[in-house]
Order: sequence, then C-alpha cells, then structure tokens
Amino acid sequence: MPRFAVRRDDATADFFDGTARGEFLLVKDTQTGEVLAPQFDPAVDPERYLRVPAAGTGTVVSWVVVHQREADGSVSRNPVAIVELDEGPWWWTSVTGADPDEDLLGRRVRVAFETVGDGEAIPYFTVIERGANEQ
Amino acid sequence: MAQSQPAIAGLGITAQGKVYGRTAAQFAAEAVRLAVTDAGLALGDLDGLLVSSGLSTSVGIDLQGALGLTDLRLLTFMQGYGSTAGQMVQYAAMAVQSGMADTIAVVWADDPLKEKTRTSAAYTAARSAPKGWRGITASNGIASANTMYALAARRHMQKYGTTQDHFGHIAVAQRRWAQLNPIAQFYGTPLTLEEYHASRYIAEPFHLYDCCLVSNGGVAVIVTSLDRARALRQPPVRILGWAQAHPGHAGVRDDDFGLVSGAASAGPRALKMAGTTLDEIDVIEVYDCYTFTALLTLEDYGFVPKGEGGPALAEPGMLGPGGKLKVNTGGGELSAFYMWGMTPVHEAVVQARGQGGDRQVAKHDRVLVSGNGGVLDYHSTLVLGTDD
Repeated sequence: MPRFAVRRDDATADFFDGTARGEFLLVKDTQTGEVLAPQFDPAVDPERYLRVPAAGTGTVVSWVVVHQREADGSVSRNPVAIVELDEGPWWWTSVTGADPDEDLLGRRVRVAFETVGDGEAIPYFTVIERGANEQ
Repeated sequence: MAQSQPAIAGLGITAQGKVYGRTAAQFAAEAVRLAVTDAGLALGDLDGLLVSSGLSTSVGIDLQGALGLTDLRLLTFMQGYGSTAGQMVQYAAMAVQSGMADTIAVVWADDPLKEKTRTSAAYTAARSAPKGWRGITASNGIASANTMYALAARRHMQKYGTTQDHFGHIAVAQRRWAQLNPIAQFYGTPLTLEEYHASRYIAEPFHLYDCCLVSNGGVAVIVTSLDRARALRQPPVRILGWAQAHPGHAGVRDDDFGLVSGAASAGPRALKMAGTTLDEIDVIEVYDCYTFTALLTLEDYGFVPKGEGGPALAEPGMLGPGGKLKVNTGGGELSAFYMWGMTPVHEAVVQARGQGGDRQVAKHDRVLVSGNGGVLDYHSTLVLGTDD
C-alpha cells in the first residue's frame, strides 16, 4: 500500500491522468510494436509513440522484505518487488498483502491504485491467488 | 614530446565517521591540505582541482577560493556516484598525460551524519522526493539504495544459489582486516558469522552488516607526472590503466540486473591498458557498498568464476588477512569508512606505497581498484602500481 501522498510533475502528468482512471499507462512504439516503460517520453515523436493501458498483470522477478520502523517504534515487514509486466517492462513496487515469509519469485501480481491524502492515485501490486482467474 | 606518465604523489584523509561540527566543504579543504603536505608540496603548486561529494550541497568548485588557489588550468565538479573517485583519478591522469595540467588535487568529501539524527536516516531523508516517478517508488516502500541492492542481490541468489552465509563470510573477512586498520570505524570491534546472522535485517536478505557504514569526512589525492612524483616525499603510485563501464540497464524482460556489473567490461580493458593480467594483481580494492557488490565485482573481474562467487569466496583461506585474495585490506566501506569511491582508492594508495602497517600486503606491485555507483549502473576501474 502506498505510504504517503505523491504529487505529479511534468514528466508524470499523463501517467497520473491514467492512474486516476484506473489505468497503468505504458508507451507503445507503433513502428516496432515494442512496449516501453511509462517513463519513456512519447513527446519525442508523438506520431510514433502512443500511451497505451497495460493489462495490469505481471510476474515477480525479484523481491525483498523491507524492515520499516514505524512511528510507534514497532518494525513492519513489507514485501517489495521488481515486477515484469506482461508487456515486458519492469516496475519497482510494493506487493501489498503478500506473506513476507513466502518465496514470491514467479508469483503473478496485479496492479491496484490508492489515492493518499490530496495526492495522486499511486499504483501498487497485489498477489493473484493461485488458481484464481486473472481476468 | 613524449606523454607524461601519471602517478599519485599525495594522499590526505580527515578524521572519519561521526565527526560533527564541520561541513563537507571544510572536510574537502582539509583533505587537500593534508594531501599536499603528504606529497611535500605547497598549495601554490597545484594547477588543477577536481571536486566531488556525496549528498552534501556544500562542496563545489568554490573550494578553489577556500584554498586560495589561483591560476588553475583545470577545475570542475564531477558526479558519477560511487564511480566518481576512480573517474576523477582517470581524468586527472589524462590531463597530466596531455600536459593540460601538472599537479592536480582530486578530492571527495561528505557530511551525511548529523548529530542527534539516526544513522539510518542519513541517506533516506536527503533523498525523499514525494514527487514524480521517484515519489511513486518511495511511496511504495522502496526508498533507499539498501532495498534496490537487496533486489539485485536476490536475483543473484535465485540464479546462482548464492546465500546469506556467503554474504556473511565477506562481512566477517573485511571486519578482520579492519582490526588491523586503526582508522577503521570498526577497529576494535570484531565480527563473527553468528553475529552477522543475528544482526537486524534492513531489507531481507540484507542484514545490517551487509550494508556499508555512513561516514563524515574527506579524502584527497594528488595526481602529477611520474617524473615529478619521483622528486617528492612519497613513493610514487603509478596510474597504469583505467576504464569505465556504464551498462545502462534497460529494465525490461531478460535484463541482467543483479547478475553482472560494469566490472566485467571495464576490468579487461583497464588491465590491457596497464599491460598486465589478472594473475599479476597483488591487491584488490573493490567498491563494497554491500557485501553483494564486492562478490559481484570479484566475479566480474574474473577472480572467481561467474555465479560461483558465493561458495568460492567463502572457502577457508580465501579472504581476510592471510587469505589467497587480498581484498579490501583496510576493511572497506563495510568496516572502515564510507567515502564512496575514495575508500578503495585510499587503501589502494596505502598498499601500493607499502604503508599499510600491520595490514600491509607483502607483494603490492599491482593494485586493482573499482568504483561502483547508482544501483550497479556506473563503474570505474583503476590499475595502480609501484614505480619499477
């Protein structure tokens, strides 16, 4: 779960417009068909590069458990991961609700969005339960 | 006219660690003065100054004014994160070769530690950026290099079977070296493998002792021609070869993030320039922001086979004082002090000069030095050597 509010800047304005609609926007190269990470700036060639919604699902390629000291002095264990989106790009994210003692390698995950305070809708991922219909 | 051969003629280091009440700019100025004196020079002999720092904003090219330097022929601030120190030595060497400048101070300083602030907050606080792309990542709980490197390390563990025990052996070996280095922050504080495993987690799989120290302080070296260095106070340390490698991780399917670093590319090029080979390297000073970084770099240079660094380096008699590989002989960033790329450069100069005291390696003709920055994004290699 996102921990604090995040504001947009010029580079993330389009992306956050997407998250507000519940979409995780990637960038498609219409010449090669390749799908690029959201950080790629389509303005370099608007005819060629289009923002497209991701399927919103991916697979964990690496994960760790961050130990976070909370305000009350306790330590929480928060799984975070590199997720390989089904379209190919990697995304660094919390895997909210995952068991910190589970090996998450290869686990299927799905994007969710959370608006914190008066900031933007922030993407994070959750584990898709085994056997669940991904759609 | 034949090119001048570059050499390191001076070395200066301030007090390290929890040294409060001084800015990074003050540490930088002190380190330059110490290096100049060490070389047997005066500040007025400098005609070049290369400056860098960690996260401090107080260090800049106005260091020239603070030192009262006039008529410089070379002056700039550089930033390549952990690869910077090695890079600065490279550019200074090229300036000497070309005749652009003759006697160049290369300095790095930082002051991340503030009195009454937790050490763990030193880097995260300065980097919190609740805006844009980095804001998204930070809000997701990925707010420090510790987490990013742990994600890299996990990749290596998953692919090659590297274990926390393997990381622990590196931490313990370097702590043993630090017991022979009076200026190490962990001098007088040995570490067992059991204590390593018992230390608190930062980001599983990383324990506290997988992570480098945090230090205030400064380090400087003086780069000049070999001819000039020979006439000065200290044994010259030749700068024989160098290279950089900045892989540029794509962050897409099949990325080798965590599996290979720039050392794999830069190492062979630097050795070739130096006219030497891996088996002629006597001392190895690698950038060890994490135990894993040292392991990966030693693999990529070829001291141990790719993927086998974990078990190979954990073999009894491999690392530590008296070990087969003389790695991070001052304790490194894990156990001595964290001056980013200046930590390995400093110890390399000490060893090449033969001034390591109780920790001096008997044969020290060739020293390999690495710098690593970003999250395995930026790399520099130096091959240093004695005057022979």
